[in-house]
Amino acid sequence: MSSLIANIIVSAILILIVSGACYYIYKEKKKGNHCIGCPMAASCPRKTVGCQENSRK
Amino acid sequence: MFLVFYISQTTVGTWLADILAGWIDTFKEWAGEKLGDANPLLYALLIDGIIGGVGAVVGFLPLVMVMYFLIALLEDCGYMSRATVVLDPIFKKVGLSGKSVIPMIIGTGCGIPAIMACRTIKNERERRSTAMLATFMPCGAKLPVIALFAGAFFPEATWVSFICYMLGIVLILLGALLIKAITGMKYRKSFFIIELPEYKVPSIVFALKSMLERGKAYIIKAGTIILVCNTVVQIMQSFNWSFEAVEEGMEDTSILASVAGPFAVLLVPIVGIVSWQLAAAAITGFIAKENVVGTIATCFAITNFIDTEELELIGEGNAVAAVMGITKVAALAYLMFNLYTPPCFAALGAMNSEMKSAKWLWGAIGLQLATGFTVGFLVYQIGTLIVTGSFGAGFVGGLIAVACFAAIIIAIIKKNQKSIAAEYQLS
Repeated sequence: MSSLIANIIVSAILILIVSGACYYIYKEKKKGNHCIGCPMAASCPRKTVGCQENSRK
Repeated sequence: MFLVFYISQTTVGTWLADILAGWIDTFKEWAGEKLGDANPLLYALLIDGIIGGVGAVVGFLPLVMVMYFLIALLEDCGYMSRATVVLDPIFKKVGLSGKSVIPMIIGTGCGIPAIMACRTIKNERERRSTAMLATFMPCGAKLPVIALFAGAFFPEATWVSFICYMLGIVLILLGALLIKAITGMKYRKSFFIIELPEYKVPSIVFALKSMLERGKAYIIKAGTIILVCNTVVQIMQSFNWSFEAVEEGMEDTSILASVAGPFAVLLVPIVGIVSWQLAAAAITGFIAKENVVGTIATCFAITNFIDTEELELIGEGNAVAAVMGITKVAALAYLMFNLYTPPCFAALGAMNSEMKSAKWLWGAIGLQLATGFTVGFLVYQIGTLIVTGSFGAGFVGGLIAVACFAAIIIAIIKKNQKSIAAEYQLS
C-alpha cells in the first residue's frame, strides 16, 4: 500500500471515529444525560432531578 | 465479597480477559501491518492512541462484567440489604446517619447516584458528610484501574481488590470522625428503618440483564469519552508547544509532558520517581477514572496488561512494571492515590448540587485530595521502609505536606470549637 493511500485511509478512519464519538457525546448531553456510559445510568436519579429543577425554573 | 473479587479478578475474569486482550492485540497488530506505510503521527494516533488506549480499557471488560454479575447475584439474594443493617450501628457511632449506609453501598456502582441518594438524610450535616465520604467506596469506573495494577504488579494476590474496598470503608469511618470533630456536632440519634427481603435463590436472568446493561454502558464510555480523551492525550504527546512533531526519545518535550510535569513532582513522595506519564494519567482520571488505564496505555505504548505471558517475571518485576519503572510498593501507593482522591468531575458536580455550599464542597475536595495523598504517601514510604530498610524518595517533602494537612485540620477544629464555645457561653 502506498504511503498516500495509507495516510488517506488512516485520516478517514480517525475523522470518522473521533467525529462519531464527539457527535454521540453532544447528542447525549443535549438529551440531558450528565454522565455518558455510566453503568448506573438506568437507575440514576440525577437525570430526573435535573428535569424537575429545570421545569421549576 | 472476598470470593467476588477472587472469581472476578483472579480466576474466571482474568481468563476471559486474557482471551479478549489477545483478540485486541491481534487486531492491533493486523491494523498496524496494513497501515504501516502511513505517516508515523497518524499511525501513532490511530494504533497507539485509539486502538491501544481504548483497547486497554475494553480489555478489562470481562473482569468488570464478571464482577457486576456476581454483585447482582448478591443484591438479588438479599445479602446487600443485610450488609447494610450490619454496618448501620458502626456508622451511627462515628456520627453518620443510619441511612448513610445506602449511599455507601450504591457507591460501589457509581458515585453520582450514591451522592444523590444522600437526599433521604434529613439532617443537613449528616447529609453533607455522607455526600463527602460516599465516593471513598471504589466505584465501577475504578475497577479497571484496580484490575490493571492488581494484575500487572500482583498477579497472584487476590487481596489487592479486597483491601481497596475495605480501606474505603475504613476511610469513610475515619473521615466521619474527622468531620464530626471539625463541625463540633454532638452525637444524636437517627433511625434507620429498612424492610429486609427474605433470603432467596438469586435469579440468573436478573444478574445477566444487570451485567449486560452495565457492560453495554462500559463499552459506550470506552467508545466515546475514553476515545476522545485518548486522542487528545496522544496529540498532546505527539507535539511540542511549537506544534512540531516530537521525535522519538524526546517525549519529555511534548505538550503533555510539560503540562503534567509540575504534577509529577507532587507525585514523587508516592511513586518515588518523576514520571509525567503517571501524573498525566492521574489528571485525565478526573474526567473519568477509566482514563487512568487508557492514558497509561497510550503514554507507555503498552496495551496488553492482562496477558499472563506478558506478565512473566523479569528480574524483580514483570514486563509492565519494567516499562513503568516503578516498584510494586509504588504501584500500590499510586493505585491508592487514584482511588481515594476526588472522583470524576461529574461526581463533583453532583456533590455541589447536593451540598449547596461552596464551603462544604471545597472542604470535600480538600479532604479527598489530602486523604488520597496521605494514603499513597504512607503506603509507599512504609512499604519501601519494610522492603528496603529505608524511606523512599520524596519522604521529607511528603511528610511536610502531610504535616500541613494535619495543621490545617487542627486549626479548623480549634477555630470551630472556639466559635461553638462562644455560642453556648452563658452571658
